[in-house]
Amino acid sequence: MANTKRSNPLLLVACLGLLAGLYGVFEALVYRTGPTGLGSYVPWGLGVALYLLFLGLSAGGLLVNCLVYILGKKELDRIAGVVTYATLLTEVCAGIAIALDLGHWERMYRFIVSPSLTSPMFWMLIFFTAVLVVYAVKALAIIVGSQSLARLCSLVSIPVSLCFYATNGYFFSIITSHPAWSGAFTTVWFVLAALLSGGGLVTALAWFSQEESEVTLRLGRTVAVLLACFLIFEWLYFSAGYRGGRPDIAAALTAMLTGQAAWSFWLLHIGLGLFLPLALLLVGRNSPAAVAWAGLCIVAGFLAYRYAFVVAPQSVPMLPGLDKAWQDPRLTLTYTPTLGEWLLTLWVFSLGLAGFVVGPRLFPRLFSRPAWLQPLAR
Amino acid sequence: MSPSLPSEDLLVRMHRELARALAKDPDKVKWVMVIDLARCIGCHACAVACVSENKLPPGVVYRPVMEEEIGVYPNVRRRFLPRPCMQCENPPCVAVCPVTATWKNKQGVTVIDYDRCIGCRYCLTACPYGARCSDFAGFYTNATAEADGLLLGRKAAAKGYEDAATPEYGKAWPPRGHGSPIGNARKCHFCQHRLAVGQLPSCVTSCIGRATVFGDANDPASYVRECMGSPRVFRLKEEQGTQPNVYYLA
Repeated sequence: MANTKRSNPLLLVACLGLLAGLYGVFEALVYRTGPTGLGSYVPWGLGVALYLLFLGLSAGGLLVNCLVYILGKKELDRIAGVVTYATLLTEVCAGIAIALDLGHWERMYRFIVSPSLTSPMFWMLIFFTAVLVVYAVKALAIIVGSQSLARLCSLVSIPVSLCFYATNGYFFSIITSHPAWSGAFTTVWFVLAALLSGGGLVTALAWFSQEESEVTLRLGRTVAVLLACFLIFEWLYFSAGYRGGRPDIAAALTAMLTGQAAWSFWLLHIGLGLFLPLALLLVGRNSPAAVAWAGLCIVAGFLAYRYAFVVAPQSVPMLPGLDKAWQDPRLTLTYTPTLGEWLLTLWVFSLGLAGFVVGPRLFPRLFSRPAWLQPLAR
Repeated sequence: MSPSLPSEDLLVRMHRELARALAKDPDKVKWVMVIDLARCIGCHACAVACVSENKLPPGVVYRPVMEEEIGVYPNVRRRFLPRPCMQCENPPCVAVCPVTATWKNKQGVTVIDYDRCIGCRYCLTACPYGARCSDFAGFYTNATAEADGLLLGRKAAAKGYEDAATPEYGKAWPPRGHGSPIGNARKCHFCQHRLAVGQLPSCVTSCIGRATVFGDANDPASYVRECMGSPRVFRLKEEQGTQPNVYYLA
């Protein structure tokens, strides 16, 4: 997106999305959860899925830092700036998505004045903030050309980010009332899912924004391994769930595979988000463009995965017959996002797109190779 | 009168026991509820009384009554299971709240501070009984047409009931539509505001079959204590380790 001619239409699309999505933001700010399609038995929907999508996309920073500082793939440091920017931008998008999903967003200061150390949500916020701070300092270090500070931030960010992505999985894994979420497996799977989706994003950025073919191909190979691992994990999740013999887990899995949003699970998640990129990574493994498109497909398909993971398990009643005991649209096991929720989603996506488009203009130093990797002027 | 019939209404006994419990040191009282499923006729009066007492909006219900048809024709029956909050000893909803807006009080009842709750709904997903609701700002009169006059129209209809503030927790809440509990998690609290003035929870007093029993589990002479010792006693989802303080008699 360094190319202004190429980025102008994208900026126009982003601006239109921001404009159209304003109504969704207004609704969420003023009427909170009232106009949503949520209910008491399906209390989490598109907003939570959107948050999970963007927090996963922010894991590109963790992936690249691991590759550079643990596995010694120093050439990836060339895109340190854009990766740092992507992490910050997607974290901001994730934060906006989840804040606007609260019934009382204006009380978020309560996380500080009356925290609960037993709640994974509290720790999620702590690590969310820590990741944001560490990457903000790293961005500053890259801008001022301080290699030592950038390196320190990268090293610190690895355990902090791991804690953040693991906490998000842990957040779900302790909810034993929804057995399709619970269990230690979820924590590990969340870290893997974050690395995959974040890896997809930085792979796409490495080519479309930086045109770094060597880096793109290197990231592509890593993403291919992550994709293969993710497929194995997903197969294990469904296989163990069905073969374990628990009807509530089987019902949740069936809801994912055949329920209301099954089309998005199969077409967007499995088709567009897993098999198409896998094919692109295998067939076009030597083509940076094909690899970058594979990364973009992973990103595009991941919302469907997050949505299925969040919504489908809630369609299983906590107690048999509970959803029939008191008739009300808010007390059913189905959930359909409203127009306002979709517009809010569009607004957050547009914000992310606008951020990537205007990023090179606002922070040119983040979108070029770090100062310590540029050849010295003669 | 047949000697096999009870000499006094169970409600009278429970009121007497309630007065005894309220005279004690509050820290030594532990409220429990016992629901005799054999006496429940599935009239839903408890659910309606609860909605009315707590001025609950559409989509918020603290004590639904689940119904189930069992058996094979011609040997079929209907079974009813009222489901209030279980007031668990080990409540998953409390541990997950990120802002300590919900906790167990000294009498064992899980309560919510509506002014502190941020509306994240984590507690709703954590409760294995689906006993928490979110208040999505619903109004029964939303679809009522506005019309002139004092008796007709949405405003007049709403004024008499749903615009009134909830009496929950004995606090002076603003009229409905002006902040909390809209946007909050809400749940059964054994009618704390009624207990404070010596009244039994509304689901108990409205139960025409006297299927719902309420009292102090620390009082060895209380009726709830008798029921808790019944061989018919069971609790929902014991395998979850929540240790509910609502008992059922099969």
